[in-house]
Amino acid sequence: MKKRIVPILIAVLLIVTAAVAVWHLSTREQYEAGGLTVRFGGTETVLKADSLTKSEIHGETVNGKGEASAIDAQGVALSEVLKAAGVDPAAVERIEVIASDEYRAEVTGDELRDEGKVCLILQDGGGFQMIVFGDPNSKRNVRDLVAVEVQ
Amino acid sequence: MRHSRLRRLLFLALCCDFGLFAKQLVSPFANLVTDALHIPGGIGTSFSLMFLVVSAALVPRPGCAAIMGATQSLIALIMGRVGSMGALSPIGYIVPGVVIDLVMRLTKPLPLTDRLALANAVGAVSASLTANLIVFRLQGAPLALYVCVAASSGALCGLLGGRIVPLVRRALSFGIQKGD
Repeated sequence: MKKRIVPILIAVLLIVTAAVAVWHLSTREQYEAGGLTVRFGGTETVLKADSLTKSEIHGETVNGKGEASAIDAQGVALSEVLKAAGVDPAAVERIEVIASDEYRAEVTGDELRDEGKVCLILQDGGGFQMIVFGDPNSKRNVRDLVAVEVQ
Repeated sequence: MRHSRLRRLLFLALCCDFGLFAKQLVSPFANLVTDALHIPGGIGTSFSLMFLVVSAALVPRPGCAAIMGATQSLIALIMGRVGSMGALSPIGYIVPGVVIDLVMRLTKPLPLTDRLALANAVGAVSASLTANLIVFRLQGAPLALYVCVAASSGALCGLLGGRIVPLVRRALSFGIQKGD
C-alpha cells in the first residue's frame, strides 16, 4: 500500500497557517478605529476624520482595464493631512501609505506637492481611501488607509 | 484521433476560461477569510489554479499549464482584466503555470491526487510570491501568513482537483496516463 504523504502535509500546513495567523494577528500593529496614524521622525500622530478640514474632491481615475470612473466625494489633500500632523510637505522625500490588510503604496514628495494630485477621500463605511489622480491604473487608490509613514 | 485532439483542445480552452473566472466566483467567501486575517488574498488564486492543475493532469503534455497560463494572460489582457498587476499581469499567470508543469514532472512517481495537491500548493505559493513582488510588497508576519494561506488553500484545491480528474476523464473519455 502506497503511503499518502499529502494528507499529512496538508495537516501540517493547516497547523503552521494557524500558528502564523496567531503570530500575525497578535503582533500586528493596532490602529485606532476611524483614525489615520501619521508617523514621522519617530513620532506618531493619530488624526480623526472630524479633525480635518474637508472639501469637495472632483476628478477622474482610470483602472487597469482603462475604464474611467468619476470621483465626487468629501476629502482632503494628503499634504493637508501631513500639515495637520505637524509635517512640512516641502521636506518630504517619500511617503508610504498602509492599508488595513497591510497593502502598501508609495507617493513621492513631488507628487505630494503637486496640488490636487494625491487626496484622501472619505469612504462610505468610514475611513479613508487614497486617490492618486493621473495614474494609468488605480493601483495606488488604496482603500481602508490606517497609516502614513513619512520618509 | 483528430476528434480526440479537438476534444482536448476544447477542454483546455474551457479550463482557461474557468480558471480566469473562478476567482470572481469564490471571492465573496475568500474575502471573508482574508479580511479577517488582514492579508490581501491567496485563496481565490489557489482555486483558479486548480483548473490548470486538472488540465495538466488530464493532458500530460510538457508545458501544458505554462501554455494555459500564457493563454489566460492573453485573454485577460484582451478583456482588460489585468487587476492591480497592470501590464505585468502575464508574469502572474505564466509563473504559476511553469511551476505547476515542473512539479507535475518531478512528482510523477506519486499517486495522482498527491501530485495535484502538491502542484496546486506550490503553484499557489509561486503566484502569491509573484503578486507580492509586483504589487503587495508585504514583509514579515503578513507575508508568511499570505504564503501559508496560499499553500494550504492550494493543497486543498489540489485535493478537490484530484476528485474531479477521474470524473472528467470518464466523462470525456480521456486516455489514462501510465502510472496514475
